[in-house]
Amino acid sequence: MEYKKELIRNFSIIAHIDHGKSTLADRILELTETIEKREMKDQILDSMDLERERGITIKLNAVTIRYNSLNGNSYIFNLIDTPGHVDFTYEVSRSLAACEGAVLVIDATQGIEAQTLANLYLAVDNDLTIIPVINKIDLPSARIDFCREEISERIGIDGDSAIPVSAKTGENIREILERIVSDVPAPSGDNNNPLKALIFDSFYDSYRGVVVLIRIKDGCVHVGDEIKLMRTGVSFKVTELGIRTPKEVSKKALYCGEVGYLCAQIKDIKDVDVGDTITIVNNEAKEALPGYRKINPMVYCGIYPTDSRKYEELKEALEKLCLSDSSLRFEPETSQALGFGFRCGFLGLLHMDVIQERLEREYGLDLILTAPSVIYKIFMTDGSLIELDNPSKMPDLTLINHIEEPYVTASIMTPEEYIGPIMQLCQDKRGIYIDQQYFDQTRRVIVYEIPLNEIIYNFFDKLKSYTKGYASLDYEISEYKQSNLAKMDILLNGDVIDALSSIVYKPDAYKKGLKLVSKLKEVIPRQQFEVPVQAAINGKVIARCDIKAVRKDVLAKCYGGDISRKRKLLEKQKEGKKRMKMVGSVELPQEAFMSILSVDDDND
Amino acid sequence: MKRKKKINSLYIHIPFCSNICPYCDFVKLIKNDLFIDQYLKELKKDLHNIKNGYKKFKSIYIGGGTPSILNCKDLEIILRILFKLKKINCEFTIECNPEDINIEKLKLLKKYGINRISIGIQSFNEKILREIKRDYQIDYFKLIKLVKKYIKNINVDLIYGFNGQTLNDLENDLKKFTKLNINHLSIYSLIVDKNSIFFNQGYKEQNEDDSRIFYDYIVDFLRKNGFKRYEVSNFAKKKKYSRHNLNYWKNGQYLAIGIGASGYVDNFRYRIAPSFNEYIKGKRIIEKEILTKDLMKEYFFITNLRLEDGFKIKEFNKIFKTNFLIDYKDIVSELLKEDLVMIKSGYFSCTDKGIAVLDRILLKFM
Repeated sequence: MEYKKELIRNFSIIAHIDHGKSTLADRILELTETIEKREMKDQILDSMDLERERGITIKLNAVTIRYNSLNGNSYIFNLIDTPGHVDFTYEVSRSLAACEGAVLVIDATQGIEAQTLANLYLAVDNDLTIIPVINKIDLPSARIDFCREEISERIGIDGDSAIPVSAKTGENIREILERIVSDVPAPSGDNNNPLKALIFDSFYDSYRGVVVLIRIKDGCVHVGDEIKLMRTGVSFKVTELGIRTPKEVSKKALYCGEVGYLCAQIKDIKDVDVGDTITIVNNEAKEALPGYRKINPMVYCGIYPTDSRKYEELKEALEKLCLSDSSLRFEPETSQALGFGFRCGFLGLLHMDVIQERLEREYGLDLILTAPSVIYKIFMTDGSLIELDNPSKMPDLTLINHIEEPYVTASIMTPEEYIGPIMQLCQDKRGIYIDQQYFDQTRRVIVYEIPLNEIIYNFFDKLKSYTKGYASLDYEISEYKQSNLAKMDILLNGDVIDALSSIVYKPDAYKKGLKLVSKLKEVIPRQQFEVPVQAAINGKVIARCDIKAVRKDVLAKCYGGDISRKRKLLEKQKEGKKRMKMVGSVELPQEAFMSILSVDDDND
Repeated sequence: MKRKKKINSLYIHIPFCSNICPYCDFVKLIKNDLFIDQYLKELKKDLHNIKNGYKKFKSIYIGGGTPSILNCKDLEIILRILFKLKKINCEFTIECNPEDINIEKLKLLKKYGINRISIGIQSFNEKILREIKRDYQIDYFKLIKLVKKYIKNINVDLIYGFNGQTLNDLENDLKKFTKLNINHLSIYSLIVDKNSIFFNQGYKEQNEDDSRIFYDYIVDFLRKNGFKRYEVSNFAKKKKYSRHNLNYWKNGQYLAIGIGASGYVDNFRYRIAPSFNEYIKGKRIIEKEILTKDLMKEYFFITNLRLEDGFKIKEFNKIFKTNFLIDYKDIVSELLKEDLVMIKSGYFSCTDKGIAVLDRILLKFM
């Protein structure tokens, strides 16, 4: 493909989860014959099995497409995919920064959702041209006119310009492509300027090292060039350049406006930060591209092998995952209860889930995860500051001056009738009311500041159940605020189980303690002996329950065919036991460690 | 001629019932004359094959379903063949519901050598009987007296753990049973299995604590009345143990015919698929489980540890060419410490405390 900057169009697709982004991408690839139908797996951009299963995109990806427009010109389209979850807002913003335009997909049956809006604002922040598309018009419940109105009212774009399409049947897909040609501007910049290449994604390849996905914002880059990553200052020699169609096609150079990949024998993915700028040593850009942000894990938890002999395997698995996931952090930690394991940091809960599933599925590990925790700032009486990511490590109360916890600004979009319950929920979760706006005639956006800790403790599930699934949530970290917090310990058989410690809001401690011990009683199976479960704050017991001893556990009838069936039943039980962790003399199931997350459910 | 194989026990499944008990999870069908004809025709074929391939049996057991709902003519069809399959001292059992028993049937059973009868009384309590859809009133004294004229070796089946059943109710059932002067009792806690009517009605099983109290009461009561609990749920006086069932619990081999029936031959356990339609078309769909050495060991424990006497350690060592006490040293010493098992005169067995939580013990051996 020859290079003509004015014939390049770089764009993303923005959509709420399930609104059909991946299907639309598939249709575009088909229509442009980028991929032949028969070699096409459904939703080609979501390459991880896990993504395909969950219908979400976790890793970003980009594909270069040739499009022969009805105007007679042959264009180069770079479609840059974006992950569709609040955990990855920053990555989305960097992907969008690599584009000039965005196709905004709205589900004709659902209308605009909070998350779509959040991503749309990111696109507008990046000065992107927006092409609104109303998808799923093949469904009988499609409300095209309603969506048009919403687009005019909420986004401020002429709703009549929205293209009604069906990604499922392929209807009107070409019109989107033509609109990209006519409306999305060609890239700016100049090949003669010093190189500025935006990193919007990276992954690890065991042969080539880190493969960096870049958008050339200014200048150009050749194989053999000595490049420099402007944030870290480290330099590398470019060994390979190319584009993905989606098959990799290597090239001698990448020019201004192009999107492609770069390899430079980079060993450590941590050197390659999304949002960083690549330039050329000896002809350096004066300043890096704007918008870079160091991303830090927001949620931490302990990960332990159920079988302590699997520690090394877990370590290797985490190391491998880290090669391709620059936002995953881990360091060894020891728990008295769980033995040797790792404290891991994640961007959010979904990220945590995904890592857990990959460890279990791809590496065949049985794991115990402790309840997730945010990072608390502990201000000590001696003036020092501790950043605490593990509740069990909380220092002695007498040494603490005060504690701060992170808050988020949460925007909840909801049909009017659920406002009452949602406000109640936010109050229960220690939310601070900020604002309320009309979104349209029937929906409102409620804005609260809520401790992140409360968000990760089943806030989203509750929101969904309070609103029959109609409300949607978007949040971003706001700031640290002082809170009245204390560490709550759990004792089994009189011993503190460090892995079950949590940090709670003091005024709720009694209620929470009581609920937690009864929840533990519910999830921990009867043991050989009676086991007292206690919750304590500062060494003072505030709640207690007893797990009963096993009294009877024998199948009454066992003859003939029952014997095979019986053996299978026992085998199943044994499999279940494998997922339990012996802590002292007590067998704890994985749910026990997560109980703190669901103690509020008893309210329902 | 081919040499005949030797297997000690034979089970025949008669899947028909006049009504479906709400707790039952066995393979059963509502009685229907056409179905019975078709089924017996197929059963006859299987019996003939067995006759040609196997030596005579030490125990034969006709179970169900409800074998006793077959009329005399139908019963005779299979009894005539079975008669030729039994050894002289064969223990030959049939399961009967109390309301099906009459002189004519008893005479027929005796004629063909049936020498043990298992009567599904389930409970003597009218309220409970109504709950399990058994709306009959029977004078059990008269009935048992009549049965004994023809068949001396009798078992009674009882169930406990019904909703609302009190310890007093249980005591009454046990007292009534002992008054009948019968030497064998199978008494099971009510299990709400997924395939039962109770399950669909959301019936709750007795809670674990009460179930243990009831069970301990039963064991204690029957021991005081001269019974030995020789298996988890089976009690006998005067050594009237069930030879057929003991074979199961000693991990012995057995043949089985009829839909849903399970057998154990050579190195596999099998089950005949519970499809009536396939069966009467002459198809025998057999689900097989090949037994590895480890599986054989698991089955050995699952079966033998149900017996109060457990198993002879030497026998285990001989079968598996190993040393039980060395192989399972840690498990055994832990269980001994917790007073869940004992070793006595070369036998390894569960204590009373152990039998109540047998499944937990078994998991350690798996």
